[in-house]
Amino acid sequence: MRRQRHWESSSPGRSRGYGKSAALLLMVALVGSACSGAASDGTGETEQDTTQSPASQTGESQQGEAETVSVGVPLSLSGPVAFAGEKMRSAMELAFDEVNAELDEVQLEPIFADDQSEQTVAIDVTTRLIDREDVAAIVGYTASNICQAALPIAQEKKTPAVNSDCVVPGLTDIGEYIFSAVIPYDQFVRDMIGKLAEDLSLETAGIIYLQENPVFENMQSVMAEAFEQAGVKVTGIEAVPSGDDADFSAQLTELAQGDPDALAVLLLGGQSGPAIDQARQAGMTDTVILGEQNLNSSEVLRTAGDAAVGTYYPTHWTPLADFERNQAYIDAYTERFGEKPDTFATNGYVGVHVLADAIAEVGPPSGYEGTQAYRDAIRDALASLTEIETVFGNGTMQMEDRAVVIDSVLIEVEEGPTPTLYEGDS
Amino acid sequence: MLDQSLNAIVLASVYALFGLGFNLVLGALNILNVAHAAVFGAGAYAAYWLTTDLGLPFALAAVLALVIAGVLSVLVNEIALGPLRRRGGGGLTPLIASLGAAMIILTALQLASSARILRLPADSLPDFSLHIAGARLSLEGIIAVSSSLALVGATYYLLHRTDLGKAIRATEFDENIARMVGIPTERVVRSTFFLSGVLAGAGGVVTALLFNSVHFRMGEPYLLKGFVVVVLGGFGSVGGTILASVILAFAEVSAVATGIASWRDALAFGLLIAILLIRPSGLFRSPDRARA
Repeated sequence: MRRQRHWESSSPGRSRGYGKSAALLLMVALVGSACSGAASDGTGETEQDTTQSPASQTGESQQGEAETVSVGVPLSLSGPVAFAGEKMRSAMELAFDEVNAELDEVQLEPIFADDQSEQTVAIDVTTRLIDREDVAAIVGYTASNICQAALPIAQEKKTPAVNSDCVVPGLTDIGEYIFSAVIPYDQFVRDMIGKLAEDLSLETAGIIYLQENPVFENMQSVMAEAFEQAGVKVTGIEAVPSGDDADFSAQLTELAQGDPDALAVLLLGGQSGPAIDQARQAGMTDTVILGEQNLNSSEVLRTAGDAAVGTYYPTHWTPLADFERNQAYIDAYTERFGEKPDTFATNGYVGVHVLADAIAEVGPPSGYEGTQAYRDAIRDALASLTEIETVFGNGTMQMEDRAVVIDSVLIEVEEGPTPTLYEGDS
Repeated sequence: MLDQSLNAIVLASVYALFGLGFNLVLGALNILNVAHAAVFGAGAYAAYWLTTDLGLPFALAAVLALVIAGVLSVLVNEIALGPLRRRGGGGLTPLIASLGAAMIILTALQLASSARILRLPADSLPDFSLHIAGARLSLEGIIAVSSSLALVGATYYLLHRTDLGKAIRATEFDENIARMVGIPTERVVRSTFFLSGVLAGAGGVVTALLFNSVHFRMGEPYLLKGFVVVVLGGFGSVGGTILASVILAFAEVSAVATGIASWRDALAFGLLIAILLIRPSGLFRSPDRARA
């Protein structure tokens, strides 16, 4: 197994099984380091191996058989979307191990970096991964606003970057080095609303959305338009100003006054569960809850509890899909981390495999003249990927215009709360 | 309209709990203790841990969580702020030290919770709500308002009717003079931090109940709001803190109810500027008593 490197942040890091005792130890360690005067450089980076020259990207592995390829993995490991970033990192670690076990000529060395859910930090982290760590490619990013800020840096520096979780439209338009292993949910959501409006006889709907997030800002207008097209009257649209907000009572009270048949919840995964629960408390007890990728998480169902019953969302991945590759992934993840994967984890997992497929095509870096030639080769290989084996959809997907093409299924949350495949009336 | 008024009253309760604890330390020691928000989150997490992992009844867990938050606040003072104060560290130094303490607490909370959103057990409270003229007030809301009233009332009594309260107010006026007249200022400071932590912890527990969410960063949104409450109400003023909390909460809820939720925070801070232009020392604090 290849070693992994991590940029540790001055803000909260991650946990891995050592829980509360580690927290106590960390407190002692942090106090100790503060007393001894040790400090980071304040740029979100502390001790790390910066002695590897750019040539290390083409260096041989410790076994002397395969060449090491450094891959930058920027994720939001602290801040408002850390809950998703942490899941992604777990699954990506699993994916890197799987890939390295299969590859002969190269071994991928992931360099994880925390963008702290901040656009400015994401720009800095991306720059450092490319310029200082000299990574061959980047895979990762957790939130769409982060992608919007950081991916132009990868394009400017001509480094192939595979976005593995950002679903805001237009990311691949940034340039030819930018790829997406996930796709915007606009059409999935239109299809869902059209189907449910008919099946459930929806007549009115409300929308609550996170204003500061470009995905939800876009999605609320997509949904409002889809509702209107389906003959569903939108009785209210309420904005939540910040991703840090946990109190949605005022917005939900306003929406409840319209007595909507459906409520679209377009908030961060960490906000969605409490918001669904608060919606029930606000009086929308029989209201159908609609969402998109944000709701496809065990975390959302866990935090919403029974309030999640009657929730619907489209998804490009579901643990309910029983083809072998998907179930093997779920088993491996569950065995390693003690819990089942969710969409965020799976997006990260697939992103690594997509990039690894391209690197496997390209071969070891020693066959190329310099870093840029190798990056260009990876870019070309990514662009020409076809019939990618995946855990998304029905098990295969295509790369088209540097973004994957996949189908969705519709999920209904039943008692438990338990997600089930929604077949509908037809 | 009554629904939104109840929402505002419940929100004001949380602001009052957070703001009063924040104000105690700021008023007494002139320290902007930003670790207060982390203690707020720690109180909520302690309640979660005590109920979920140790299986304690919620009421007992809530009381213990307040004690834990109080002790944590004292530790912040003993480890980060007290040594600086004794060495004469002023200006921005205590602010930076409290920021460091906040980061340590937040890191510990994130590790302990794996950055997950947690929720108190569903059976923590019975399913009950009060219906008033068509509006609904949940049991969680009732607890928020009543516990806020009780704790704020107790704090007012402590500050104005007990020897400790007099000592706190004397220390607030001038720590050196208080020491010269024989007041054990270190013990008073410790008590102030404990009380501040208890109030923060109460705010955290109430918020966890109200919004069905325990998260390591849950106190952060309240930090700026707490600052607004303190500045609006006046440093060290209990009554001012309450009034400012009510004004802020009604302003925010009104923004949502009138369809300008996007301007919620701008409205709150615009209100702050407007009131300060009229009363620079806050609503309840006379200018001659206001500290810098």
